[in-house]
Amino acid sequence: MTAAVARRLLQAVMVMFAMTVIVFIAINVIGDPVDILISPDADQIERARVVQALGLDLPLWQQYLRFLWAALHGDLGESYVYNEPAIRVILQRLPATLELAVSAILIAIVVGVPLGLYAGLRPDGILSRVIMTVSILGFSLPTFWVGLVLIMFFGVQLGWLPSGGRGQTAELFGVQWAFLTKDGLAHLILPAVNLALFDACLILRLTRAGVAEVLPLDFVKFARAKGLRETRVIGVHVSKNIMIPVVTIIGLEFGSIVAFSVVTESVFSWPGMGKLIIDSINVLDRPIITAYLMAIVAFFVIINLVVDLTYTALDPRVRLQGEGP
Amino acid sequence: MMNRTISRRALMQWALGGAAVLHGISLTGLAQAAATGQLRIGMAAPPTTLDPHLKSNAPNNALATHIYDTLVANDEKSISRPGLATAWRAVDDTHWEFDLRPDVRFSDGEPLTVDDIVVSFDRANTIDSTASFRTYTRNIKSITSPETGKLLIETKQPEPLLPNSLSRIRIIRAKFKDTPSDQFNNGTAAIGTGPYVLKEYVSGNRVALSANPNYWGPKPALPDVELRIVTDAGARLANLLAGDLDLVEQVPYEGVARVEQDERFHIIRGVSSRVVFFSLDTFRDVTPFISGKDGKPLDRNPLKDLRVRQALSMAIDRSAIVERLMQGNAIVASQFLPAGAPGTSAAIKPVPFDAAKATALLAEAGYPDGFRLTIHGPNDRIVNDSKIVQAVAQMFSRIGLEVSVEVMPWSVYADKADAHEFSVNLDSWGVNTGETSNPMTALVATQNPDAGMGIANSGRYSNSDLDAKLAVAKRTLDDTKREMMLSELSDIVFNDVALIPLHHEVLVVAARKDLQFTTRADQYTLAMNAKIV
Repeated sequence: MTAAVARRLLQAVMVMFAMTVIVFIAINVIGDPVDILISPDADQIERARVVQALGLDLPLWQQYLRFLWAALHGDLGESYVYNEPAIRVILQRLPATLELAVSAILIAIVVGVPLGLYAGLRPDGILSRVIMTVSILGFSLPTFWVGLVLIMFFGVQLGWLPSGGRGQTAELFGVQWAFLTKDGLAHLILPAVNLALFDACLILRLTRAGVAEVLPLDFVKFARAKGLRETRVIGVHVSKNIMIPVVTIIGLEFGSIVAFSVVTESVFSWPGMGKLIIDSINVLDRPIITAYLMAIVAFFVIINLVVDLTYTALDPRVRLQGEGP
Repeated sequence: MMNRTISRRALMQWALGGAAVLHGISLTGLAQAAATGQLRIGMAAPPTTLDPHLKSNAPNNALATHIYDTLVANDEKSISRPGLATAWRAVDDTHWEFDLRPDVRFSDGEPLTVDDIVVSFDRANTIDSTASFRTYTRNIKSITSPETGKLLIETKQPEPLLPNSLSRIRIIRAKFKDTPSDQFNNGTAAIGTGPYVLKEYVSGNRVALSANPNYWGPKPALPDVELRIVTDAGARLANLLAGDLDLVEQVPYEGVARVEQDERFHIIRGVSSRVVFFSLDTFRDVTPFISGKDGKPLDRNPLKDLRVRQALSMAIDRSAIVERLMQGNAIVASQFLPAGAPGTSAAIKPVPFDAAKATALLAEAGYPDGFRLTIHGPNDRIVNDSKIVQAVAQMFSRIGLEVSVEVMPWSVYADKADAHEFSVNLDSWGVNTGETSNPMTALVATQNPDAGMGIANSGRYSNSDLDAKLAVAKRTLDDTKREMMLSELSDIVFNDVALIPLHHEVLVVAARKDLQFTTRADQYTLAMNAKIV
């Protein structure tokens, strides 16, 4: 077990290393951050000073070694834009993204799994057909459009919910959270629903497919023959067996919601990390891009580890790689 | 990239249209838009710091203007007006005397002293920054106070635009000389003498301000202000329509009609000092993106021929661009600033569209069959940039050129333009000094890094006559004389088609109907400029 975890973490470090090399080369190919950063009316003397101050006058490999050396000492550099340590800028935005992602994934599970079960158990029912048709819309409509329609309907026409921003926040563990206040919670609903829509439909369809596949199997017939109540057959025997793909998807999707929720964040002006990374790419803020991607790699590795651990809990036949037989 | 923008726009129109159909289902949204005395502004671009000396860009400078004062203020048309200094005069070529406004207090109650001013300039000139204000402070040799209430500034070189330079440097308290920027961001050091004081700043999200009780000038009409950062144009408009915002800047053109038909809101327009133009490579003997129609390189660079430059300028139907492409939200440009502004020439008129004459000029210049040309532009920087480039390409092809178009994100484009990689490229310049020596220095003066000339001259236009006269004008302290010289220089620049001006952008702001708002040429959206009628 420990060996497996250690191996995963080692993998993460390797991926991060490779990623920093790619980011360095890619940004160098795209353009020169100085042209974007300095104020347009700055003169050449000022420009030369900035180039030197950022160390951009050095050859790329020297810039990289400098970065690597500092990174080994826990310093991922200062943002060109914010003039603050990159990691601090990212961490400031993390809670907003995290609460949005967690709310969205919870909504997706609460909506997707029961509806999927229902549709799987009564594949020919009218309601099931309606559910399945709506779910196709759910993941084929573009997120930003659905977002705008949600704003137009619930914000502009009905006036029930605020149309954007994060609202009031309250402190918990030294961090500002929106979900702790009534106002913040109201602001959270629309973006969370917007973000959850795609995943709810995905989970729904996966669940339905799993149920359809598992129902005719012998162990279900056997459980029924044993005289178990239907709720137990579905709730324990069927559910447990269809959950592996669902858990995989939840894990992966949670990762991508955290990392790439940029569309929803900009439509709802939610001050999270997705917005930050796009802005940073637009101005070639290399320290932020590098630190952000490193954090995301670490995040994905951790999620995958959690997913794998969940497998072993769900299905005793699954073993983590590197674990004894 | 471009496809995405277009489809996003189109989809937003549908969304807005759909909402218009739904109009009437419920009117509860209207109740929220009622006047509250609070002003909530939707900002298009996020400020990145509250440290007024750290980073010079429009969102930061606009935010800082609420909290801090400058010795000289820039008014709506970027003309110098009294700020913390009530009057000023040039004593000789390098000495300026300023009368300080008496009894000015910081928002914490402490009086403003000369020390605060000296420290602020020193800090702006030395702070570690990627976009510093040193361009404005470097020429200052010393700041002293010969007597109470007077300030004497000595410059290294004569600088007629010193009052304008001073309008960039915001005055902080001397005790925050070495205070790191994050202390400004959390509010501890964000103490100024301006009309507002900071209540709260949440990076990338919102800034809350309230009226400064110690302010020396007229109290702002709306004492309670929230600047909310809503970068998505569609969302900004939706927030306004939902009654969550009272005023939004940079309204997308496709949303203007939607706002106008809603009785709760109105649209406010104002001319900006941003001029959109094409740069021309008049430097190289063979320019990379022009070739014969057979694909073989030409023996000379056609752009070096004045007749070709005139033909290109004449081939552009500017009023069509302004009316259709910009939907009336721009004005046709003939020179750096709209005629009448300081340093413009009354003799320069917009070049009329004349395809026949353009074709004739091309033939006269030795290109009866035209040539092959690629024009470049950014696609996320200037309003409608990629559409403008495409429209102009079609107009060029009408006079017999074979034109292709290449647009790219600003992050890619800026570097290439700076390295002179293009032949004909779309660019823009915000003339924040309100007069023409600034764009002449940056855009058409011969590149000279040591003198700070031609920093944004991406076509490397060079004209020794212009350079010599500009150098004299830039040393002339007498405003009337200097403006006459600059006006003459405008004649030289535009008669020689050093670049092809297209239009000046117009700002489009949408606000609650009971709000009156004054736009600014520098495009800053300032809460002080809003009033309730």
